[in-house]
Amino acid sequence: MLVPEDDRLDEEKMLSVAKKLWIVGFFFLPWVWLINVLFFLPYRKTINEKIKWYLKFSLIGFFVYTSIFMAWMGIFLVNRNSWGERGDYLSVVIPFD
Amino acid sequence: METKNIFKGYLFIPLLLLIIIFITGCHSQSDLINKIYSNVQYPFPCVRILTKDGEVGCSSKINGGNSGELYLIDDNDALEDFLGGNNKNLVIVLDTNYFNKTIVQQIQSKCQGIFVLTDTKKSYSYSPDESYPLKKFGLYPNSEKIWNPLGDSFLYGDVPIPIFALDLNTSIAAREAGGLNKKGTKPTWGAQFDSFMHGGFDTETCLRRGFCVPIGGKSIWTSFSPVLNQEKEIILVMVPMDTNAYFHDMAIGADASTFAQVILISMVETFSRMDKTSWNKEVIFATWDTERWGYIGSTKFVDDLLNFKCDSMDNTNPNQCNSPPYPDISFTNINFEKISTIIELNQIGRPEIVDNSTFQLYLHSLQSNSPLTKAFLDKQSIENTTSLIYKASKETELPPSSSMSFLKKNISIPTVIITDHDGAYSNPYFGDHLDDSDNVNPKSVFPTIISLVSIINELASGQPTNVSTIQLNEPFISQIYSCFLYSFSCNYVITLLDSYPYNTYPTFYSNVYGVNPTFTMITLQTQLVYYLLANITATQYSNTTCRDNSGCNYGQSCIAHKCITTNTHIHPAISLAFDYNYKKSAWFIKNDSYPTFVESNWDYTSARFYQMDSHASEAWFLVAGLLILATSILVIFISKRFLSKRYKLL
Repeated sequence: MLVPEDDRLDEEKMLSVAKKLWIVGFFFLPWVWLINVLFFLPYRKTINEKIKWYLKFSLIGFFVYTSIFMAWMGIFLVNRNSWGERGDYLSVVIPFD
Repeated sequence: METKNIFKGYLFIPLLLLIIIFITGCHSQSDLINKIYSNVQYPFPCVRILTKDGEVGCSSKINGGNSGELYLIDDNDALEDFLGGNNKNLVIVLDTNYFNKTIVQQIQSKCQGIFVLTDTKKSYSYSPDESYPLKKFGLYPNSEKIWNPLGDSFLYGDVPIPIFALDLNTSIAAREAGGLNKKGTKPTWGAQFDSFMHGGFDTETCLRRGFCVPIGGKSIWTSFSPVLNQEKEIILVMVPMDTNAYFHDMAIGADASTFAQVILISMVETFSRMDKTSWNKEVIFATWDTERWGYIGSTKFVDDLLNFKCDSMDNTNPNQCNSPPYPDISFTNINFEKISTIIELNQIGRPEIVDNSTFQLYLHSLQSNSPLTKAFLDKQSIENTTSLIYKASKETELPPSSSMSFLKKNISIPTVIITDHDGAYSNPYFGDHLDDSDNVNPKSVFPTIISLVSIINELASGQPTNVSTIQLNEPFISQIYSCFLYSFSCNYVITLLDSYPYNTYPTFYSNVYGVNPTFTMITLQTQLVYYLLANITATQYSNTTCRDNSGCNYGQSCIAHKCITTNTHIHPAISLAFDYNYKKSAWFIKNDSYPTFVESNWDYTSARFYQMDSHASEAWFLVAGLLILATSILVIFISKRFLSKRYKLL
């Protein structure tokens, strides 16, 4: 059921959403930062500078986190076997060979 | 209203039709699979073994395995055509003459898999084992000697594709299908392999991940004395039990050790009916398992005789140790120092024939003039009835044998190793699946038993044996012989074993030890040997029926659902390299100077054949199908428009 007041976001609500998602993203959740940016894409012309600041740093954070994660994943997948016991310890499921 | 009811009535018919189509559809689907594929009932795959240094053996790709069109290589032209061609999607049907390391290494990178045919015999001698089998685990790790000159060490090679051997009937069919492909007959025949192996890299990694299990088995030893007298000297009569082959399920190993094992069991059977009151020595008959993987069974036994200590005994059974877990510690009655004689039957299935009718076996010993060797050599001069004589080998080193495990601990134990070869092996197929019943001489069975029984009786009692007192149970020996060498489906298997074997092809491959020290495996073949020896040497039979040893009184064993008293025991055969970590529930390498062979786990191994059309006709099938689809859509569309105009009801 739609509540009429929630139909449109006013500026204050937008700010609180952007801020909340920005904080949540710090918990190793880069996709939340990306969602933060994508969510506000339709409102890009109406949002104020303060929200934009959060979105900008969400996007930067997304790229930084993602590149760190991707680099780690590459290093892990390449060296998993040569790390021996530690490599297996870090794996949740060890794939067959 | 009336029309509506009629339509409601008619609605049942399509519904019923739908249900019928659904049910029959399910059936016809599995029928369709059977029509498309013909499964190989008993595939004999090459599997993956790992050592501390890397991978050995074969594996298919994951998910569906490898597949391709059959290509028959049965002559040099076919081989050259294949090596010159560029089609990498072929499955090779390999005549047995082309199955060796050199040729497989040439074709392995250019094909999807190999079927090895068994419908014909190899025209040349071949051994996939090492030229000095198990050199680094034996008594002479730096020896220059070559015992097995035919060996190309293929057993220890790593192959990136699946290789399966086929049984006789499937071989004939596969050769025919490959021949049709060669002629260009359509549709062509193809095949699919699935033998994906979980394990990889090396033993340490594989054990840690739990994808492998150590190779191991169960050795068996027995004695006629109800309780061993620890003051008496011991004569140890033994054979290596297990055999190996490129395809583990085809490891008959007739000459390698199975023939000797038949002789040992038959000897025990003969002794059971003889008077043994004059024996002043203890005679122990033993058959060691997992010897082909570095003398594992005998090494473990010797180590236990010298170093076994039980930390916690079982409260109810004084013969059982809980930590380390040993269900039977009767071996503690054997004093290693008291072993005064070792007689090992090694490869004895192909004795030389001298003077047209006399068989000749060779004695390998480090003490050439000992009373023990004399007992054998003197035999020929007195007895004319036995047509088997012995000759001392010229070699100064002992051939690869289980005795080495004992001699490593005490080199001065008088030992004879009886073989059919003086120097290099006379066995033309050592370590190959062709070391089968045709590779040994059945005529030498009876003379060998009579001769050995008489000599061992003499050694145990110190008095000459009257050969006429030796009565052979010929039906028993023949039956055991054919059971072990031809088809594992004799009466003894049926009456003594609960589970009828899945495949009656005899194999004495040692198999895996077990997922942990308490849940261990015992192969049907080992079970049969144990049951036979236990039954033969039993001193007391009771009528109590039982399911396992716990259902019998203390000191009794449950053999074929009957409680019997016997001094026959199972001993674990596992490499001293391994220990079990109970915290992590995994085996690990404790000491890698011992053999570190482990076998990879797998889900299943299968192979199937199918027919396939040329790419052009497959493309036409697709085009025709699309055309039919388009036409039917068009027909429905047009007729619907026409009918809705004509009859307003629709």
